[in-house]
Amino acid sequence: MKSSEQHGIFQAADGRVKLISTCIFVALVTMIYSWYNLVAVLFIFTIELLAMNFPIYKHLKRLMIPVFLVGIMSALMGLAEMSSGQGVERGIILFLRALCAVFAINAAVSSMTVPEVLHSMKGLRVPDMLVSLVGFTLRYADVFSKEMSRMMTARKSRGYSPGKNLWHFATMKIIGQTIGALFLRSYERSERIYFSMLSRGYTGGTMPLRETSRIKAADLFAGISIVLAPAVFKMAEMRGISWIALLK
Amino acid sequence: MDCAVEIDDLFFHHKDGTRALKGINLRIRRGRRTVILGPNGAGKSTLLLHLNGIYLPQKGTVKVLGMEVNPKNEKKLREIVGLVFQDPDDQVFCPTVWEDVAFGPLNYDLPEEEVDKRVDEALKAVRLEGLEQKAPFHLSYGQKKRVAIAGVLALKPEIFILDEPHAFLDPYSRAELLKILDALNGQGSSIIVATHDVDFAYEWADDVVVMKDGIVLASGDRNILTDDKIINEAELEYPLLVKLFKKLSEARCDKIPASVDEAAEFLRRKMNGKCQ
Ligand SMILES: Nc1ncnc2c1ncn2[C@@H]1O[C@H](COP(=O)(O)OP(=O)(O)O)[C@@H](O)[C@H]1O
Ligand SMILES: [Mg+2]
Repeated sequence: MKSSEQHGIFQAADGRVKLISTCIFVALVTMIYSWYNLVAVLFIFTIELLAMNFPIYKHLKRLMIPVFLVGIMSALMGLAEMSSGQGVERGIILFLRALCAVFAINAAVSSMTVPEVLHSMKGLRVPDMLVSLVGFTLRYADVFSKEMSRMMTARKSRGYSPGKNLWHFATMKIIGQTIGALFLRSYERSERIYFSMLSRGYTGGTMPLRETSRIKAADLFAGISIVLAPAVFKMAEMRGISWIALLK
Repeated sequence: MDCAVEIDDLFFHHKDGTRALKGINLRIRRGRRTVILGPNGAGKSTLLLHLNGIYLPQKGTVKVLGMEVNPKNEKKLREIVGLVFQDPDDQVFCPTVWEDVAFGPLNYDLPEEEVDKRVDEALKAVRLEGLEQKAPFHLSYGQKKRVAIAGVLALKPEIFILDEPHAFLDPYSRAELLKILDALNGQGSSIIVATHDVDFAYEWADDVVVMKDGIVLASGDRNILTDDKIINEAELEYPLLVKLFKKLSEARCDKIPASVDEAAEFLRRKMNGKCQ
């Protein structure tokens, strides 16, 4: 059992609440139009996480790669609109929105274990089929990637080296064969997994999972904190209020 | 004879046409440790999947504890017959260890306290207490194997079947596995193990069944593994002890020892006799 003293309010909060409020957070953020409001949301969200004892430094390190990708994409989109004269601003806004979203999703997911994410989805009445699918994907991603790398090692140890570019015929052929083999193996494995499920009395239908616990006040508090900042700034925007203008 | 499994004239071919079982006739005794021995491709795994109705006989019959295997009683059957698959990655598929072990009991709609109790007991039996909330992904191969076994134990099957249980296990984990199996057998369960490990069969089994190319070549006690004809036909090798004592003709033992301990005892007696 987790205790909030050890892990902080944010991490201990109920997964369902975190998932829902993060979705709302992302939806709101994509609807905010001014860069200064987005900066404010980001700033306040960071402060909140710090206040809730979230290990933000570790979190930032993990964000490097997604932020880099988001940055490149926003720059490209901004460039595409250069002719209209608003390219830079559009690029910056896109980047800030994506940054907020990546930041929040990452914070929510990294504060949960895989089982917690699945249970929370289940608790939120996400269809069982989908939850099982996500569960299986997460469980077997590792098994398949190991299988893939074993196949590549086996190829290399028999003298195969990938060609310089994708037009290299032999390389294409090998890649095709590898994917084919992987597909076949996953098919065979999924049959064996299904057999093993049947062997333990599975008769189709939903996978039985444990009931999750009740939502408590502390959970709601964390959830509200997440959505608060983007909701306030979105509302301000809709009423035409701008805090930056107030500063002047 | 009190039979755990009775198989008569069983034939089975796979979807791609591979004829895996070509007329199996077999009796497996209740409460015994039975090893089904055979080279790769002999049809062992295919046979085992018939014992809980995953595969149904295309010809012939399979009976478990007197009950015929058919779709009508498959659910009951799967509670009686626990099957541990060769690769634990095929069997341990839930997000946490606890859920995986509880998967079977939950399928049988057992009351919540009973599920808790069974999961606790099963995890204790394989000595994995405290790992309930771990994701299988973070476990070692040997630990995953033990989770797979616990998942079957939690159903309290009367017949316990393991397909190639030694594959990829290190020596320590093997020894641990044997302890678990012997404890189960001591409580009266019938244990059936499919393997190509002749040494294991020779030292551990009460009864041995030798398979090759979809048929049963021989069955009996461990001494069928000292038979030249059977071993050659099955493309197996003599167990190490048998090999040694067949070479040591001067040891002049009329019965080849059944275990390393017995062999040591025999040799010690011989040597002492010489020296005195
Ligand atoms: N799912 C399958 N589809 C097609 N052929 C199979 C399948 N499983 C096993 N076989 C074939 O059936 C024969 C018996 O295999 P198997 O029962 O796995 O033997 P063993 O377990 O003794 O190694 C082999 O020739 C094998 O190639
Ligand atoms: Mg096999």
